[in-house]
Amino acid sequence: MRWLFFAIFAYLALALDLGLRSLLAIDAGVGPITPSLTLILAVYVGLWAPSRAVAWAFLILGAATDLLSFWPASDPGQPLGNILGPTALAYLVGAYAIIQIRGFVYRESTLAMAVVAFGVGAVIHLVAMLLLTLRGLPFPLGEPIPNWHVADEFIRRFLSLLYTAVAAVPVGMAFNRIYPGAWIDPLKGAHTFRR
Amino acid sequence: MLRLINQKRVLILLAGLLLVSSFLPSRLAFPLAAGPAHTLILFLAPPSDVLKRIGDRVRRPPLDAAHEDAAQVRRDRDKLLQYSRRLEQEVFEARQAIDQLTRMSRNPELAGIKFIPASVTAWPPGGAPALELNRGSRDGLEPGMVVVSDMNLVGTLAQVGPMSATVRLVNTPGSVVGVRIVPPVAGPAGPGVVARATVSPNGQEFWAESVDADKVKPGDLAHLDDKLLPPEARAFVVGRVSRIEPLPQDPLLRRRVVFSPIESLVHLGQVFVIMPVRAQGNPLAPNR
Repeated sequence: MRWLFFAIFAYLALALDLGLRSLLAIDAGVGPITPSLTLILAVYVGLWAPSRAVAWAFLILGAATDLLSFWPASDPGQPLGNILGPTALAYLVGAYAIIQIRGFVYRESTLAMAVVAFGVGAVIHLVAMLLLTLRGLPFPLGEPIPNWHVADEFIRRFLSLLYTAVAAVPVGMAFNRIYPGAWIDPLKGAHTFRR
Repeated sequence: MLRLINQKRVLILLAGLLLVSSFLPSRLAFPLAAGPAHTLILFLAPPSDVLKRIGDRVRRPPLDAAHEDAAQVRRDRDKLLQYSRRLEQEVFEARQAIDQLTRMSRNPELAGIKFIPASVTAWPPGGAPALELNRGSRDGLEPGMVVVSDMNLVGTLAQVGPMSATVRLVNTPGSVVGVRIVPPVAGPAGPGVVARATVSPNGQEFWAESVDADKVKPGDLAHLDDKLLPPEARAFVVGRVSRIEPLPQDPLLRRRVVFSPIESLVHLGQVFVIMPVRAQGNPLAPNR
């Protein structure tokens, strides 16, 4: 895994996600829905990179997503803040999921990439929602996120996933023009993925 | 020691730490992530700020459209102002109606009388002594019924259609109406001075000529006292005495009492039609 290329593309994906949020957002009634270029990048890396690199890449992208997501504090007087962990862990679970299924996917297909992005994204969002919802249980924390409605969040994330899957088609086409060797050191035998 | 450290174990350790961090209270989790978050945002600022500006420019309208928005705001404000004035007018009319009904309900002579509220829908041009109402025979109205406003006599129903009626105003030129002039006291009026009043040529006043003018003074009220009209209408006022003047035909010996309606009869908005006691219970029963 050539981490420099990954770093460059991760930087671009995060910058695009952050900068184009207002432009690409669609109001769906339960909140704005936006595509996640970070997820698309993660899926692409997940389809091509070695397992260990996939885990680290997903963890890094998940942690970065956590740091760019702001939540209200339980005390109304406090400003918004970040919770480092839920999305990072969710991405880690997503890494495990993509490693399991990528053997059955035709990686060069843009449509397959969109479908995998939707599937893996669903796993990631479900785990993230689970962890964020568990914060509201009396044990261990008992501090729910203000205005957290599971149903609304579920719908919003589902619609965002659909949006991401649609965006994965053109982005995937662009990614597929990049020779995977730019990411992966051929001496490591990346084309024989070890699980 | 170094053999114990491998990527898998580091990943597991990090996962455990992230799990703990996920369940920290916000007062601990927020400061923990604040530093890395601000660093990351600062690092991403150059391209993301440019993209945000481009996105805002694409999404937001240009300056000219902002002026259109301001014009739209003014139009919306004007519409709301008009709506507010309409509501104020309706509130004013409702309060007037409440005051009227309150005064009428306090008059014991009106006990047992049914009032049918009606709105004036048309005022004939040129000040002709007639009004159109939005009630008709379907509401139990019949020709000859007395129309009042507050405690003042307005006129009688001349024509009645299914859903509208025409009121012949009491000050129709050529009309003669019997009145009883009494001082303006609260409660039932005393015997007073009985007279027959004619409407002046301009329709603005009533003249009572064959009357004992010594017993009348300006400010007295002329109540209806006409056997041709329903008895329940006798509690209502035809006008207020404005002056007592010498009769032009016999200025030395005779005087006439001049009285005029208390409120303008052609600017009424809400009136009441008196339903005679005998017609109550059967809106379509004949009047007499």
